Amino acid sequence: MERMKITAGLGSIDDYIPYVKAGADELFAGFVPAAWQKAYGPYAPLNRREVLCSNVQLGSLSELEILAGLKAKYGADTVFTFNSPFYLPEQYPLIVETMSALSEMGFSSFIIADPGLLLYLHGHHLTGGFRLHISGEAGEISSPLMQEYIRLGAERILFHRKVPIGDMARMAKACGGRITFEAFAMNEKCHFHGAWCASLHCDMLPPMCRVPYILSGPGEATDAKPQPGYGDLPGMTGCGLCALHRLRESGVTYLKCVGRGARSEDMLRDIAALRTALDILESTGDESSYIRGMKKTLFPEGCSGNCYYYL
Amino acid sequence: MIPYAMAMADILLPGGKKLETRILEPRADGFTFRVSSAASAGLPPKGAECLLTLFRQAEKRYISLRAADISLEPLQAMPDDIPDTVTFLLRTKNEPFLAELSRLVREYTSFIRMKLELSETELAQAYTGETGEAVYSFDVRDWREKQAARPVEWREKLLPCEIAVHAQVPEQYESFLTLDAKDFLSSYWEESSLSRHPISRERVTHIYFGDPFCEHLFPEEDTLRRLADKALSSSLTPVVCLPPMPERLLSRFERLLSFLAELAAEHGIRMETVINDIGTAVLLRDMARKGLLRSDFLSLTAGILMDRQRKDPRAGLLPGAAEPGPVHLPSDAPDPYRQYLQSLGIRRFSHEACGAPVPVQGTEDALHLPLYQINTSPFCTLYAACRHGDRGRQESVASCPGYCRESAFLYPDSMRTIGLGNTLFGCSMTELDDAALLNRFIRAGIGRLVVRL
Repeated sequence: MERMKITAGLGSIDDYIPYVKAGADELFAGFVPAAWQKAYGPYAPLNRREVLCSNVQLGSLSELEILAGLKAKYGADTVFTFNSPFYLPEQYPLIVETMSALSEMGFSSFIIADPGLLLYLHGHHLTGGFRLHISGEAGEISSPLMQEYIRLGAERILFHRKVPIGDMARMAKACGGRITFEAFAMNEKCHFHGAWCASLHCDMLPPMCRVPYILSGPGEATDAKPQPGYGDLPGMTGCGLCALHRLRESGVTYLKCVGRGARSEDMLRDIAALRTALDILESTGDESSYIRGMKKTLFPEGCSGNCYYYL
Repeated sequence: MIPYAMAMADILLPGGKKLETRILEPRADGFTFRVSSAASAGLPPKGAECLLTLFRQAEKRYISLRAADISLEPLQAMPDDIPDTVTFLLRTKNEPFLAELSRLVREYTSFIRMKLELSETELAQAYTGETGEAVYSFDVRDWREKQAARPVEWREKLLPCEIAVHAQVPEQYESFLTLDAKDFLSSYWEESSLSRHPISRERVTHIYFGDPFCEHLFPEEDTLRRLADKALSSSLTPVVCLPPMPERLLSRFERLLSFLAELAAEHGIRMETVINDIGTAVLLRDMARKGLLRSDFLSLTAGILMDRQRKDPRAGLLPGAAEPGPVHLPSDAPDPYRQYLQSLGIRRFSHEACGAPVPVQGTEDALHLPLYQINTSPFCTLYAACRHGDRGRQESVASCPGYCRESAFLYPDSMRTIGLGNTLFGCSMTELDDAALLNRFIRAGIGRLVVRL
């Protein structure tokens, strides 16, 4: 069985070396070129973080040249994310231009979510030059849609946070080993679904999923509590470590450690925890032995309980 | 390090080349940036200039300043530097350039301080200027009344178009089956707090059955047959609305699509079927190719979950936004997504009114109002909150007791937002209250108004 790999969110090239040393096999990052910023402003998202004041995107071509050097030296690729669920059709040429520039620098893997962009790339015979990962924001929740994405050029499918592992297994089986699969493992467990999210993800206003609410109806109203922030434990904002055995059985080979723009210390801790969990997974046989060993090692005092997957 | 969205610094090299850099550390007399060792060869060149592009939050636009009198000085490598890089210090005496840089640092520092010291809500209030205690409605009925129950008169007559109502919970199905259609509609407008609204005086032509977000609310086949029969006998055109199709429901959808085609064939009609994910259209195409159903008895409409655009009631509050209201990005360019959906047999597209222009491109498109979807979870947020006391503890459930009939997530009334079942909605009465605005939509290609509150 193929060894599972860690793909981790990178908010700054300064974090590349420590993340790789902590156990990341691959990084994913956002890059918004100056041309995009100037043409559409900071709030028209090129990826799912339309931020102005936060260091979430890798900036400037000179920084990317440095990143290309790091890739040559340390081996871990960086996948660039163009995962806004929708673009204006007239924005596609600039996106392709950006992808081409990245590809020339050695970064030819891209995460995309807008079916229109995938269709544009396919229609312009551009899918061959790029390695396309279909984001969970593209809404691939069934095998007919997944087969369609494969037909259009997908090489990897990222299962969304809310795809049951049983569904992942059925979809992976239906695809017959033609592509690879990735699933969320750590952090930022959203209460909703990115493919159906029309909310801002900027830094001045929290996404709508994080706005306080009250629950009305029979019984007592519940005061809204914001989702927990990054704390001392790995996976405080979402954790799928107990599910690694089942994810592997279902055909998932890449595990996403989310956190572009999160504190580097938190990401390092979470990547290291995920690596430790994978090492335990490799050395144990059945699921219960794995979970017992993993919890004993990583969570001797108890875990966050903020599970991605309820087994 | 200054975020690249805030400031972009191009070093303009002699010969027309430029070096795109990121500001690492602003200083009183310039800033530092870094390049790879390979790119540092030849630096610093004589005659280089710097083009600084900065975002002015107050004006919501980028401005550019050029400094010709710059000097570049390589700095000594530090232990924390990334290997094989060189950091340069750019200096200038250009006062406007330095003043803008200084302003940028103040804005950025202010943001960082607020980010560290304030909660997300407080930070949002600081940026939007909204202050004061949030006021919440007491319950869903209260919320609906606050949104809609007020005197409204249209100043012009509504242009001819189809008007639809949307029954999407079992109680409404039952009500439709037991009541006279006229009484059902009276009850519908009453429950929606729209009974005094002029839209309630328009002739309803269509009725939607089924919830676009939740499979548990979809009627059983027998019920659906009776609903369709009743609608047709009441001079209402039935429209069946399907939720998205997850893998675990694949075989159920296969059966359902076959059933809908058979039902339509029995009645000699084309059953309008609203789908809410591409996978359903692909499944239908593949079934038709295999001869498993007569797809010509179904007329497909792309539902609101396939209408991919930004809808956020707070978008107009962003610093420097010209007008309050949600952001839309209308486009006239050929849209490969729309063309692809048409190739899958989609004939009609659904949009939502949310206080801003809608990129209508069709001639029969449907406009849903006054609720517009903001976010949806495939598992139910409300089930999780009611069952487990934690909205995030979601799971796939085989059957649901129907918490959505009694409970909802309420947001500050000023946000005009409500969480119903697994979906968060905004509410825009702007369009519904203004026949002139509705007529503009109709002239632009909207052929149907679908009203639900």
